[in-house]
Formats: sequence, structure tokens, C-alpha cells
Amino acid sequence: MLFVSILHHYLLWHYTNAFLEIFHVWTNFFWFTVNFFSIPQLLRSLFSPWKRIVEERKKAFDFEDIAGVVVIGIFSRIIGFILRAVIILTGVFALALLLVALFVVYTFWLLAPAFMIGSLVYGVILMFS
Amino acid sequence: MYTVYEDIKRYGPVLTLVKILPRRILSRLRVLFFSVALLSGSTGTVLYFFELGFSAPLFGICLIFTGLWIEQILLFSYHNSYYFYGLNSIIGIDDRKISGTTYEVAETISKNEEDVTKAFCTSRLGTVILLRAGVDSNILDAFFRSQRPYIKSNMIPIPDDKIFTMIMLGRYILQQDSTFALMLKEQGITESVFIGSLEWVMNTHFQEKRRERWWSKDNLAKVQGIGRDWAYGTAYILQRFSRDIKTSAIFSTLTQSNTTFKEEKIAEIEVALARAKASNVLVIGEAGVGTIDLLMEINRRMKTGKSLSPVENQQMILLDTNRLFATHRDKQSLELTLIALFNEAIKAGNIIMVIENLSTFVREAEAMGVFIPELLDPYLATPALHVVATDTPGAYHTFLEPLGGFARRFAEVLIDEPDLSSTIHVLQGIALQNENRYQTLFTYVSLKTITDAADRYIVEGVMPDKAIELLIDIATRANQNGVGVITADYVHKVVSEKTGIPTGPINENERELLLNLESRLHERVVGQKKALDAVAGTMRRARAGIQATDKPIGSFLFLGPTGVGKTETAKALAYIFFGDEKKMHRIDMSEFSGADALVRLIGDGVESGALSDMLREHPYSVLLLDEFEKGAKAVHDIFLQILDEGVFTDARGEKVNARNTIIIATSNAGSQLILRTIEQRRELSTLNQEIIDYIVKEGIYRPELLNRFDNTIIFEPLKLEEQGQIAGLMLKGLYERIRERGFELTITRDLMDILVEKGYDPQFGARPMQRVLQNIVEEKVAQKMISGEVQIGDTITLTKADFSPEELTV
Repeated sequence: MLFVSILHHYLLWHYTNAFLEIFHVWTNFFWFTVNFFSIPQLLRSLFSPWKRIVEERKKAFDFEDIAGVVVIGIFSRIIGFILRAVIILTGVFALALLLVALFVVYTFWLLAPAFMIGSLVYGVILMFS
Repeated sequence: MYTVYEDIKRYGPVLTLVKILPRRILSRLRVLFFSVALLSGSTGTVLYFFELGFSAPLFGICLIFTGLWIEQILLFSYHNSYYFYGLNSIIGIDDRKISGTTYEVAETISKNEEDVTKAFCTSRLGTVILLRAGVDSNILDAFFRSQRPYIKSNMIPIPDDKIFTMIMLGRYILQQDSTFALMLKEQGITESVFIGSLEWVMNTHFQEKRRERWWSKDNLAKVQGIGRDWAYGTAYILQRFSRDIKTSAIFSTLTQSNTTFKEEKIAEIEVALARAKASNVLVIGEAGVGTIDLLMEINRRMKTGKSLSPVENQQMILLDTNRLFATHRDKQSLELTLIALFNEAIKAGNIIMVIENLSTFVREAEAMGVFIPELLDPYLATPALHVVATDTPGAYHTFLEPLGGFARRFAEVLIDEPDLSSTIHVLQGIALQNENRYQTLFTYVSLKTITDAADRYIVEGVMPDKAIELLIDIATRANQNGVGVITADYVHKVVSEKTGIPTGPINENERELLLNLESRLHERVVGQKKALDAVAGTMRRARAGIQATDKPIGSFLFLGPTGVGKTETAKALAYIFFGDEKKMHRIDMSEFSGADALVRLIGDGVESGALSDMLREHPYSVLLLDEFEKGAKAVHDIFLQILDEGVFTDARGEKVNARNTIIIATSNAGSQLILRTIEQRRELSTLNQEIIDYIVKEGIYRPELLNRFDNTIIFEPLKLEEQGQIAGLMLKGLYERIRERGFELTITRDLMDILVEKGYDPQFGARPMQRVLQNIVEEKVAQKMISGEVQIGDTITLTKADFSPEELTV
């Protein structure tokens, strides 16, 4: 009787509240991934020079100097862009995975009681086969 | 009315489940099942590929344990769902209004719904709460057995806008169960102590739960994002001259206590840093209040994106000034490094430079010829660089304030010493950290007592630092002496040992002493019954703890002619209260009557003063201010403050504590009036007010100063019969000295009468008596000893006949 009462209460939770709670935890991980890969910050500074490495301009007009500043500036920005883009893309990929994971988890959750019983039963059959 | 009875029903199956499989077992079984499944599965796979047989049973085992593992995951999630119910709301990271009881309340009450008080007291958390509150388990057992009204679970209403926690349950029981409240009261456990223990235990429990829930947003936020500093440069030179900010933290900390004070100060510093112009901050606080800890907390907030957006992604770097000065020998190289260092920090764009003890940095640089205020001014003016400096209030007033413009480049944030309740909060964290190490348990009252004792009796240092040191000292001693539970009594004992001041409840010996204080004083002081009664009364009040704690232990103004026992009373008090008459320290106020009096008394910023030195070196003593009326007006003014607040600030801006001192000012002012009164054979007590009025009228003391003393006590001129007793007391000392030389001395009655008569002078009190004894008795004894008239072991007997009339003339 006790077992039936717990089982009943459990199954009710499993197919109602648990779904909401899983979603809530998932949003935490979504938020974490966005933050871990610093996606908003990196997007804002996508084309900024890498670690602020730029040539300083001298006061007087000097073609060579300007060329140096421009070349190093462009180079630094390209490096910065590449590295940031890599991180952003990794982050977006991780988010996509997370989205897939949500569906996988939901599917697993829906079928988990069946999985559990199935693997127990099949396990016993295999053991004694 | 929705009650606890109805609400905890939903926890029923979960609670039954953990009765069979406790949470810890659930957690361990999950790991065990997974490991077995993995092991059998992988072994089965290997056997299958090498066709060695036995793979099918192993796969079978793997599947069974996989099934069990899934079951454990599901059960654990199911339990978690109820176990963490309402936690976000309790720890204040969710504003949504939710109702219902917490898991702990349901777990507690479900044990005994008919007697909620007993359920509370015997629950897992309730036991700890009562232990911390200092409840005696035998008394508690007797309480359970007694006839008393029960609180049932269906009597406790649940609010519909907040979660019903154990703290609320504890409060409810305290309010509604009068027998329980009485049981606590009888053990001396006040409401505030019970609630304090309740909140301490439960808040610690909630924090543990918070850490356990690693998937929550606040725990995930602790991980730092990658690539955040790629948009900023690197400050290579600064890295060479910096050290980890943690090396300066004392971990004592304001930050461990969850107080609004901390929140306010963090907000204040962040707002100052976010300003468009001159976004620098000077954090002013005494060493030990935890200024660097506060900065570390801000640094942590910035790293995890919790701070204000203009300072988000900034990082604090602590300038290692020692290394800077050690590696530079001349002005020019130091200046160049400093300029390069600051330029680089600006270029990096995300640096908040932290300079500890700014005034020391400025002065050390000045010794090398570098004038920091001028050098740094352009950097301080720009919003591109933030500087956070720290300093003590004293150093700030003495060295930084006079620099004017430089100081104005900083927004000042003053970190006061935390108040006593914040200090108790800090101690709760520290106590938990130290309990395991020292194998002891602190009760809540012990923390409260430590806080009060540190505040009142520990002179050096500031709160919370000195309270923490005291706590650790107590824990160490308890560990050495095998004391398991640290109670308020134990704290009092340690504090008394450390300071020599009796604290805490009055023990038998001390009770004896205090009740017979008058007679103890009379053993040393002749006559002056009224004066000594008044002193004893005041001292008793002080020891009973009725007097305010923010004043000296006692303060008296002794008025009366010279030689009537004023100094002797002070010595007697030093002997009785501090164990040694040498604990009386005298300042002759006639030396502090000139224009430089105040400077000599409290120092001038470079040299320290006589009074500050004396109080720092001998905080637990009697301070005798001789001829108080002769002190300059400025000196009287400083005593207005000392008598009122028990502390004053010396010329260096440092606080000097006089709260553990008995202050006695003596004065001859009005003694002529006293003598006249006596001559007219009028009762002195009726003239008390008259004498005080006279003193005020003559401008000797201002009324506000007289009012500051706990008591103004008038010493009467000595009577002839008292003079005999004084002579007796004085001769005691002489007998002792002569005995040490190997002789005995006897003085006959007839000689004694003459000595008393010759030594009596109402105007000069006992002083002439001293002279009479010296010139007549000591002189004669010396003559006898030198002439060889007496041999070692002999008794020298002096009679009137031994002296010629000339010899008896002083």
C-alpha cells in the first residue's frame, strides 16, 4: 500500500511538475553557456584589435608611420576577429547542442520508467539465458 | 485558514521514501549502480569481442544496474524537487511570492503532529539549534515529561505570500508555547539568544543547500567566461609590480556576514568607480575592519558580471609598493616606472589599480624625492583609469587631507567598525570554520559574549578583527583544556585571565569583596566613612554592569585638604580591583597648565602624549589626576570627552580607550571652606552642595565638568583620634622595615600620645605625622643601631624618657 502510494505520487510528479523543472534547469544551462562563451561581449568587440595591440601614431605626418599604424591595426583586428569568431561559433554550437539535449532529455524522461523496467527485465533474461 | 497540517501532506510520500532510503544513501547508490553497470558492460564487451563466453550474463548485470541507476536518478530528482522547494525565495534570489512550508518544516512536524514543540526540539536541526542556544538536555527531558498544553500542526497557520521556514516555526513556538518560553527563560536563555541561534543554524543550513545545488544560476555564475579580456590590453610592467589582492585580505571579514552594511558599502564604491570623472575611491577604515576583503568582494562581482555595467569586466590589481621601492634607487627611474606603469594601465583599459595605505606610499615616494600627488594627478583626473586606495582614518587626516586637491580626486568611502550585531554575524562564520579544527562547539551566547568582551575589554585593534582574534584564542585554549562546549562563562574566564579584570557573573570571592568593599577600603584609609561609602557604592554599580559600558569603569572627583587619604583611596582601589597598588598611575596636572599642555598630554602627531601613552600601556588601571584644577582649560575639555565617552582621539588620529580605567581626579579646591565648616562644627554632608556651588562660582571647575564625574566626593579633615590610627598604620610599615634589619621595635603609649599630638594638623592631614615619625622615631632608631647600643635580635623599646624635650621638637 505504501509502495503504491509513493508510486502514485511519484508518477504524478514525473509527468507534470518534473517537465517544468527540467525546463527551468535547462534555462540555467542556456544562460550559463551564453555567459561562458561571453557571446554578447565578444559580439560587441568583434572587430576590435586583439588585446589592444596597435601601433601608436607619431605627431608629425609620416607616410611610413601611417602605413605601419594601418597595417598593424588591420592585422590586430583580423586576429581578434578570428579568435572571437571561433569562440562565438563554438558557443553557438554549444547552444545548438543544448537545444538538442533538451529534446533528448525530454524524450528520455517520457520513456524513463519504461526504460528502467525494460532494462531490468531484459537484464534478468540475459543473465539467465 | 490553510495550516501546516494540510500543507505537509504533499511531502508525505517523499518523507516516507527518505525514511527507507536516506538522501545520502540515495546519492551513494546512484554512483555505485553506475559504476557496476559501467564495469560489467565494459567487461562484457571485451569478452564478447574476444569470444571468451560469459558476455551475456555480464550484459545482463549491466542492464540490471543501468535500470537501477535510472531508478536512482529519478528518485533523486524527485526528492530534490521537494528538498529545494522555496530555497530561491529564502536566500533572496527570487522575488516571486510562493507559499507553503519548506522541506525541513515538513520533515520536523511529520514526526509528531500532535506535539509540534517536541517535534521541533527533537528534530535534526532543532537539536543543533537548542545546543547552540545553550539548552540543558536534562531540563529539556523533564520539560517533555511535564504536563503542558500541546501545539498541534493544524493550529499553525501558513502565510499565503511567503514560504514558511524553520525560522518562522521556531518563532511561532516561542510566541505560542508559553511553557516552552518559560523553560528557556528559567535557563537564562533570552528571546534574542533563541532567535539568534535559530537564525544561525538555519542560515548555515540554507547556505549548505545552496552549495549542494550546483545546477542553479547563482552557482553556475561563479564560472568565469572566456575571452572577456580580449578587448583589453595587457599591463606587463604593472604585472611585475603587483601582487595577488588575496595576500592582503584578512578574511575576517565584513564580507562573510550577510549584512546590509556590506551591500551599502559595495554599492557606494561601485557607484564612485562608475562616475564619469575622477572615478577613484579612497576606502578609509582602521586596519582590521576588512577594507581589502570588501574590495575582493567587488572584484569577484565584477568577474561574474554582477557589478554595475560601467565597471563590468574590470579587474583589480594590487600595486606592490614594497617591490616598487626596493627595485628603484633613484628618483628618475622611479618616476619613469610609475609613468610607464600608469600609461600602460590606461592603455589596457580594464584595470582598477589598488594602492594599499596610500599615505605610506606617498611618504615613501617623497623620501626618494618623488611627489606622488603631482605625478599622479593627470591619471587620477581621467576616467580611463580607476584607482582604489585604502588608508586608516588617522593617516588620512594627518597626511592626505593637508594635500587638498590630491585628496579631492578620490571619493571617500568610510568603513566604520561594524556594530555589535554585524560582528556576531561575522563570528558565526568564523566559529563554524574553527569548530572542526579545535574540536569545540560555540554556543550563540558565547559569540555574543565574545563580541561584547572584545568591544569593552580588548583595547588594541578594531572590530571585527579583535573579536575574531579573541574567538580563535578561546577556541585554542578550550581545545588544550578539553572544553567541548564553549559557553559564556568560559569566555568570561578567558577574558578575565587575559585582562586581569573580573568579568561575567560575580563569583563567590568577588561577591565577598564587593559587599565588604567599605571595610576593605577602611583597612587602608582611616576615617572618611562617607567618602568611602560613596566610592564603594559607585564601584558596586559598575561591577554589577548597571552602568553604561561606554564610559570609564568609574570616575570620581575627590575634594578635600591635603593628606586626608585621597591618594591612599586611589591606591586601595588599584589594589582591590587590579590586584596591585602599582596599577595606580599618577599624572600631576600642575605640569599641564601651560599653553603646550594639551600637546604634551595627547601628543602632536609625531611624539605621543603622556596621557595617551599611559592609557595605552596600562589600560586596566587607576588613573590619578593630581591637583586636577591646575590643568589648562583645553586639558579639562579633553577630560569632558574622556569622562563622557571613555575614549578620545590623540593627535595622530588614533583612538585611545579609557573604558577599562578608574579615573580619579583629586583637588584641594574648596578645602578652606571645608576646614571652616569643620571648625564651625557644622555637619559636612549638609554643605556638599554649598562646596560645589563655591567651586563653580570661583570658576575652578565648570559645572559640565563636575557633572561628568560619576561622583564628587568630599574628604573631611582628620580628627585627632583618627590621627592615632594613621600613626598606627604608618608605624606598621616602619616595624616591618626594622624587622627586616633583624630588630624588633616597641613604642610605648606615652610616647605615642606625644607623637600623635605633634603630628596633628587639620590643614595638612596625615603629612605632618609622617614627618614626625621620620624625625623622631626613625632618627632615634638609627642612632641606636649605629652606636651599637642594640644588637641584632634585640627589641628596641622607645619611651618618652628616651627623648630630650629638644628631640621632641619637630
